[in-house]
Amino acid sequence: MRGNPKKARWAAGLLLVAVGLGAGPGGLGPEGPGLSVRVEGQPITSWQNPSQQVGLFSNPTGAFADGGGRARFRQFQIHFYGGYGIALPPGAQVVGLEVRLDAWDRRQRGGVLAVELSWNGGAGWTTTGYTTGPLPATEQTILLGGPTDTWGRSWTPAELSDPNFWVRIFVLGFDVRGGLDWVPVRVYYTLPGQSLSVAPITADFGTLGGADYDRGYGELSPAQTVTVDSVGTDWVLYVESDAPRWTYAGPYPDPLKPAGDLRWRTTSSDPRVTALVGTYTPLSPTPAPAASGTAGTGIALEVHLRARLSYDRDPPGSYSLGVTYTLTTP
Amino acid sequence: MLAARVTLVALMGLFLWSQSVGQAQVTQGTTVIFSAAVVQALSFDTTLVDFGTVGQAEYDQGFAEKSPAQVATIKSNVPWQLNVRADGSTWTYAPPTGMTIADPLKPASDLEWRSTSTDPRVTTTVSTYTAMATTDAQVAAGNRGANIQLETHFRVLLDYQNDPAGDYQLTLTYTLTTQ
Repeated sequence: MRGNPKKARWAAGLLLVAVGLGAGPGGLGPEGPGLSVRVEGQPITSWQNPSQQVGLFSNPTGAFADGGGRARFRQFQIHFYGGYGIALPPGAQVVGLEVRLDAWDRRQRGGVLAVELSWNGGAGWTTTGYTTGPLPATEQTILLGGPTDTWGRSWTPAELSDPNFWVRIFVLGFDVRGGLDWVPVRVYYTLPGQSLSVAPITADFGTLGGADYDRGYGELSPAQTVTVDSVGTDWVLYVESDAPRWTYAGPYPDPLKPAGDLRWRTTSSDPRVTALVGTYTPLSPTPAPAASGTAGTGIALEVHLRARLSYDRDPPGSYSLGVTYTLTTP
Repeated sequence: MLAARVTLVALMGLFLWSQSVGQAQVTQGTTVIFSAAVVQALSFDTTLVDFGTVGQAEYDQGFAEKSPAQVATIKSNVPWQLNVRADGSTWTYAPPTGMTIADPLKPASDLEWRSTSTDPRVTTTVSTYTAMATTDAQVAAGNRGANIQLETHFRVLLDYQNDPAGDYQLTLTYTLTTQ
C-alpha cells in the first residue's frame, strides 16, 4: 500500500490537521502492500534498518526489524528513527528515497502517520506532507516516497549517512492505539556512468556543385546532434577522424583529400554545456575537445560541418570519412 | 568455508563495481559523406569583339588583328578542353547606307584565331593562327582548377577584291567540356 502524499503542514493546528485528514482522500490505495515502481536495472539499497531512536513511542526498538516486536504509539506522539547505516558507492546520485511503515491502528479510529526526513541530524526536515492515510486495524505495509521521489530536495550520500539521516514520525488522529512493526528505508540511486548517442549516424552533404565549389565548401549546419548522458561526473566530448584522409570513389585518381578538409564547430543551448568550439576547426586523427560540461542526462549539442572544396584538388566522385566521438571524464 | 564464501562474494562485488566505474570512455562512430558533381564554368571578359573600322592599312597588310581579342576564365573540377566554332559558314554582311552591294559571302575561315596562356594549369594552346570552321576546334586544354585564364587572338583576312565596304558580323560558340 502506498501512502498518501497529501501536502499537510504540520505547523497547522492539530485540530485543523485532524479535520483535514478526515476530509482528505484515504491513504489505503488499491496498490497492495509493498508495491513500488522501479526502473529496470536501477541500483537500489536493501531495506535499511534503523538502529537509533528517540521520542515518545513505547517500546520503540520494536520497529528496528521486521517482526520480533513492535513499537506502540498514540495520537500526537512524535518519534525519530535514525542510525540507518546507509552507505552508497562513491559518486552515486540519489534519485529516490522510500520509507516503509509496517503499521496499524488497532481501533481504526483514523490514525495517520505523517513522515518527514532530515539530512542534517534533525536541524532541517523535508516538507512533503507525506502521510500513511488512515491506518488499517491490522498490520499493513505502507510505502512513502519511491524510486524517483527525493522528497523535495537533492541528497548527497553524506546526507544519508549516520548521524545525519533521520526519519520523523508524527501520529495524527484521535484515540489512536497503533503499532509499528518496522520502519526501514531504502535508497534508489544511479552510479557514475556515461553514454553517448549521435543522430544521424551518417552526415550526408548530398551532392555538392558549383555554388559549393565557388564558396569553397559545402555546409551542414547543424549536421549532427550529440546527446550526452553523464551521471555523477563532468564530461568531455572529443572528436576525431578515423583516418588521415577521406576515402574516394570515382573515375579520377584518388585525390587523397585530407581529413582536415572537414571542419567542425559545436553549439548548444543547454546550460550544462560549459565549453564549446565556436569556430570551424579542421578535423584530425588526433582527438580534439569538442565540448565539455557538467553531469546530467539528455545533454544535447549540435555539431556543424563544413567540407572544403577546391576545383584544383577535388574531382567529381563520392567521398567518405569516418568520424568518432568519444565521451569521457575530464 | 563460510568466511571464504563471504570473501569471494565481496571480491566479486568489488570486481563488478570496478567494471562499472572503470569505464573510462564511450565512443560513437559516425560517417560523413558527400558526392561531388562535375562542375565546369566558362566566362569571357567580353562577348563582343569589335575590330572597329578597318581601312587601307589593314587592307594593305591583308588583315586586321585584335590581340588579345577575349580573355576566357575557366573553372573546372575535371580536366577540361575548350572548343570554338563559327555558327555559320559565312559572315553576315550589310552594305553601307544608301549603297547596293551584293553579299560577298565572306567565309568564316577568314577569321583566324590562336590562343595563349601563362597559367600553368593550361596544358595545350594553339599558337598559330588557325582558320575558323563550323566544326569544333580545340582552343586549349588543361587541368582542373578555378580562375584559369587564357587569351584568344583574332585576325580577320581582308582583300580589296573580295571584301567590299560594309558591316561584317560572325557569331562564334565556345564549348567547355571534359577531356
